[in-house]
Amino acid sequence: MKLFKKLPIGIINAILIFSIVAVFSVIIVISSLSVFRLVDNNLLERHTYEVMISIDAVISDLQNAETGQRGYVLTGRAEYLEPYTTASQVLSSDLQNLQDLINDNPAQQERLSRMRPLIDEKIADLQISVVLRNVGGFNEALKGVLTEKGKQIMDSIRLIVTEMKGEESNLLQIRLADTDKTITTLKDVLLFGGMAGLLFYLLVNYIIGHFIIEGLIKKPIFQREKQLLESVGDGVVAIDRSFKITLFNKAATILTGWSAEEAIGKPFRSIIQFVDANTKKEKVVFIEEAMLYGEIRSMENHTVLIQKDGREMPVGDSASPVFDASHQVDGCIIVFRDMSREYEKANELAVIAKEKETMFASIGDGLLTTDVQGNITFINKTAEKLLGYKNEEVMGKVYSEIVLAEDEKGAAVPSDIRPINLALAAGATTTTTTTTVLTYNYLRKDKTKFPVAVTVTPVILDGKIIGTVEVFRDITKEKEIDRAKSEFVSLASHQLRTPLTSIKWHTELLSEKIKNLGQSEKTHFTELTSATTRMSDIINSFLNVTRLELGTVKIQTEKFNLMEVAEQFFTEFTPVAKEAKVELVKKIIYTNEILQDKTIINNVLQNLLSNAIKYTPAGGQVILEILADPKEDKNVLIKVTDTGYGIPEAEKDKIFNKMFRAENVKKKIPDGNGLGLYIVKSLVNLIKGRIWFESQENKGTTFFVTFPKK
Amino acid sequence: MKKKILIVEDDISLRDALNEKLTDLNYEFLNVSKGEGILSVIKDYQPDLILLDLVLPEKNGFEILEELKVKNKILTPVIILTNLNSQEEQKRGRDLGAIDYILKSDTSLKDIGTNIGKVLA
Repeated sequence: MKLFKKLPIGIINAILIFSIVAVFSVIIVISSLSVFRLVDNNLLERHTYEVMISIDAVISDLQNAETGQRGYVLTGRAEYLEPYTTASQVLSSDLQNLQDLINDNPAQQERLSRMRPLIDEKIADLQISVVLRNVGGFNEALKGVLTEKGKQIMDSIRLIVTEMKGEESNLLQIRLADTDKTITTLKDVLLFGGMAGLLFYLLVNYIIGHFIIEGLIKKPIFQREKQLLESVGDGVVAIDRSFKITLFNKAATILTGWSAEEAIGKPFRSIIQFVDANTKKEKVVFIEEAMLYGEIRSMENHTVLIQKDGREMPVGDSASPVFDASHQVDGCIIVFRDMSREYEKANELAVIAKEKETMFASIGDGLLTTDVQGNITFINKTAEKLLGYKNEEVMGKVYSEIVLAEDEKGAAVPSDIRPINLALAAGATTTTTTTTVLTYNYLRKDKTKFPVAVTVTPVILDGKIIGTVEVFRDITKEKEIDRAKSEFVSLASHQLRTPLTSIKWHTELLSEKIKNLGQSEKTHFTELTSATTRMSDIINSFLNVTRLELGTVKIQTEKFNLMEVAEQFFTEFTPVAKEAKVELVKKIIYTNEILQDKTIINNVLQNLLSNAIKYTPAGGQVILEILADPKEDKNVLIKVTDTGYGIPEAEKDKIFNKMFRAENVKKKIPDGNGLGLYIVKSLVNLIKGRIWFESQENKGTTFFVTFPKK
Repeated sequence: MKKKILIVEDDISLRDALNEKLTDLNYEFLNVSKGEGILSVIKDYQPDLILLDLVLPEKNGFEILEELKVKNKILTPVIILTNLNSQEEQKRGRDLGAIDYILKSDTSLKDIGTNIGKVLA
């Protein structure tokens, strides 16, 4: 059978087919021949019977003739002659019939030819008897009958008939025997054929099952797989049920140091030792489990391969059971690869993590990280100190439940404006500074508070936010500094005001007292006065800015009519406008009372109007409009439109900055401290309004201020 | 009968300017540079109006005002004449009973005179 296995498929195929065809051909041929023979025999038997019948017919005719003759001889009556007459008539056709039938048998023909003359004689004899009776009467006829001649002829005829019949009988026997034999042969052949068929069926099944399929299917697939396995970068070792190596690919050779020839056929353990990196104990349980449970099993961590030369190599991967056609575990394929690089990387990562940990512990600010859901993932030592929590206490907890923030009044800061949520929502860094009007206080675990500056940055990986990093610090010190600074500015400003007042008043007195002032002297006084006013404005602005930044500006609302305020300003600015040759127009549509901070509204109007007039050349126009805001029915809208120098495109986003003055007007109008709009914007924000503008260089500007009516 | 004005101001140059203006406006005046003993000064001088600075050595203007108006219920009208100017200060001044609050550096002597005239009218 082994030899059989080794033959190429084609030949096995051919042998099989040939054998089957040969055997069945033989069966068919034999069966067919037998059947033909039976048919032949049947015909021949029939023939024999026909010959016999025909012979009998002839004999019968003769006997009938004799009977008739006898009867007539005896009685002389015509009716007794009838059989003779009839027989004589049919005899020749019967003889002819017999003649035809024995055409194929020369022996019989010979006998018949001997019989014919005898038959003729007999008939003649009979005829003579009849004639004699007719002529001579009974006695004459009797004489004829009594001569032995008639009887002798009949006996001779009977002899020949016996011979003929005997021959036919023999033939029949032979044929019958032959038929029996043929039938037996046929039966045997058919039986044999049936059994042969069954046998072949089983044989073919078996062959197909064990040899052809294995040869046809398994073998070529295995060849292809073998090639694949050879080219794979990981070590692939296949073992059979008894743990003997059946496959050992190139990579396995490279990794272990053993060649395929050295490895194949050897017990797995003698070639490959997987051990635990620390205990050096053998670790092949995973292979055994894979084969036992019929499932893939992975190597444990810290598995190390002992190479041929005894060196150790960290490895990883898995064992995969192999099944045979009936789903029984047949062997195992173990795949492994060099993990040294991975372990190195893991080490490097551990080092980096440690460095980061140390860095975080040593930075002076509080550091806090969250995942994208807002659960805290880490706080550093400083954060622990500042918040009064330990890292373990807060890990995994929801940020907004641990880090509580309040505004200066003690009200909780709404979560939607907290920097962490802004950062998560917008994916952008959000910072609070010491100078924002809204200062946060963080609450410690023990509920004491401290002011904070917070920066939250979202962590973005592949375009998606995966968490946040918050850096915060206690700005108590800075707040104190700010306060001191503001107090200083306050004080300084106040101090400056005193000599300023002196200049102002004494100048006033001088201008009153000196009579007969010439034009140029008058101008001096005008300049002095205007200078003191400007200086006063600057000081006022500084103070305002400081107060706004400190958040000490408090809104005091009162009921007043905006129209009245506007009218007042109009009146106030009319001389200034006249001097500047700028036309002042008012369109006050909204005339109702509002509940707002009058000082702030005053400030806003003052600033915008004076700017409008200041930055519009002679011949221009300034329009003040007050109306209900068309987009926001809770608000009032103030519009100040001028036909002045406008704001250049490039400077539009800086116009509200502190100390900023646009390039195009800096030279034309040197007067200006760049604080006006900054203050106006801060004030507008304070009353929860909005300010914006539209402008075109050298065409004009319109400022829009919208704020709630109450 | 000329109206009498008590000036509480510690800056000499400002005081001189005020003095001259008040003279021009035909008022009488008395200068003090601090709050100490002010009650007796008022008792003696009987001013019709007090111009009160806020930033003073020792007691500040608010303390003086409180003493005058709250503690001693002095009825004499007080105009605060100061270079301090914040919402709190203005409110505090009015709450303590000042009839007016004037920022010196922003107000001309002429306007001060007008204000005085309104009060003394």
